[in-house]
Amino acid sequence: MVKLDRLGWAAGISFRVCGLRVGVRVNDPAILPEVIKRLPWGWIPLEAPTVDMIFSLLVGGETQRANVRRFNLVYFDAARLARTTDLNAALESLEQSLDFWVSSQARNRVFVHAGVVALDGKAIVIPGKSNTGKTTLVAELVRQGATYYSDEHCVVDGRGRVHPYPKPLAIYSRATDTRIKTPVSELGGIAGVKPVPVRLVIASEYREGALWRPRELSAGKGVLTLFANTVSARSQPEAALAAHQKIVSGARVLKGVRGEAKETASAILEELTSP
Amino acid sequence: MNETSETKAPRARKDQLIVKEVRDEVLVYDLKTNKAHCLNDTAARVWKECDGRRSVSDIARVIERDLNSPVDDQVVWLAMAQLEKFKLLKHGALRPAGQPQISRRALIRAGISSAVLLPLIFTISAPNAFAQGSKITPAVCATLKHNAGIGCGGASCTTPGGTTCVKVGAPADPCGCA
Repeated sequence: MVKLDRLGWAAGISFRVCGLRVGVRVNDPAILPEVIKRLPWGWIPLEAPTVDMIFSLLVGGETQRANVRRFNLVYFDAARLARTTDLNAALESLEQSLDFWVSSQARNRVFVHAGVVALDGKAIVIPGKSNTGKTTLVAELVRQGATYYSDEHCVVDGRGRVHPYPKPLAIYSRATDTRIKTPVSELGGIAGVKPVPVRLVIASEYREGALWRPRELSAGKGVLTLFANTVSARSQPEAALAAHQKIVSGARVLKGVRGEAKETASAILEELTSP
Repeated sequence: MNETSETKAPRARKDQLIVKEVRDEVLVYDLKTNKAHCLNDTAARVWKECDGRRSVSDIARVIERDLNSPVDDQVVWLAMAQLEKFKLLKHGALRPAGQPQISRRALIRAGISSAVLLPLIFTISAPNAFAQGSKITPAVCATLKHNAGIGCGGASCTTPGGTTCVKVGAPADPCGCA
């Protein structure tokens, strides 16, 4: 770490997010605006440079010698995370790492891997691992009028309320076989701005041709469903369980397979809005 | 009374456990095994009564009194089997000689229906933090240094087919989606 500290750091930013003080330093001030675009949602700048964790981005830059490559390097404290000649990949690696460490170390929030939308001031939480169709269902719920909170992280406070984390949705494109970052405005939706209590938890997985006929889980199983998708489950189990207890105290938990997102979203919203 | 595994009185384990009550269920997180358990009402009641002094029959009578409903001893033995399986007992009860292992199916087949729910423990393993991360592109995976104390991480890749970011090839090789 001392060696790293001795390098010429030209610029940086320190900020607070989820009870953590984080710093990012770079050797090229021109890259700082790109770094700032990729900071975790909800960050607040700090005056003081003292931080709990520090990320460093060494930009390799151009070289006049054709046979010499300069790598872009990303560090978390003294541990090297990434080494690449592709600056964009280095920036993505930095963003992923910031996201990961904040979600796993957050002090006053519990991060659940889940999509979240809100309707009438209450959240619908869709926990699940990657490839279970969360983003697709979230996008469809937004198209049908729900307010967007996140397609990736359900950020829960000690009162069981969900805070917005409205980064662009990573929507899968069959045409390019990649995920495209899509701002919610492009779906005709809006992002939430304030924390809301949870009304409904939907544990579902896409299966072609399936009909949405969920069964209701008990409160205890509901907690475990959320816990099974909690980033800090092993590092902060007590806080995680307490937050999920609060969630299920006021919410129903449904589980089942679902077919196409459009039909499922309609069914969910109809049930919530019917008298 | 000396408490050893040879006594007939089971004792609940308390060390390294986080316990939360949720309505009529009890959640138990085991810090030793990183498993989370959900005990239904009956399993929770049996566990609570395992104080190292009460026998299986005693426990059945206590629950009968609390619920004002008959409780067969076999129901408590079934709970014991589950609690022992998930290491929630410091020591279990000594099974009488010749008594077979109890199962839910056996109780139902034997017609031992009960006014109380049969005990049930639902269990999951707490996920590793890396397993909960968002998917990463192969390009990002390839930038990771697998011996940096964090490794390739095992995060899911954006490539179709359920690939994850893992160490590929020799130690000097970068991580890759496989």
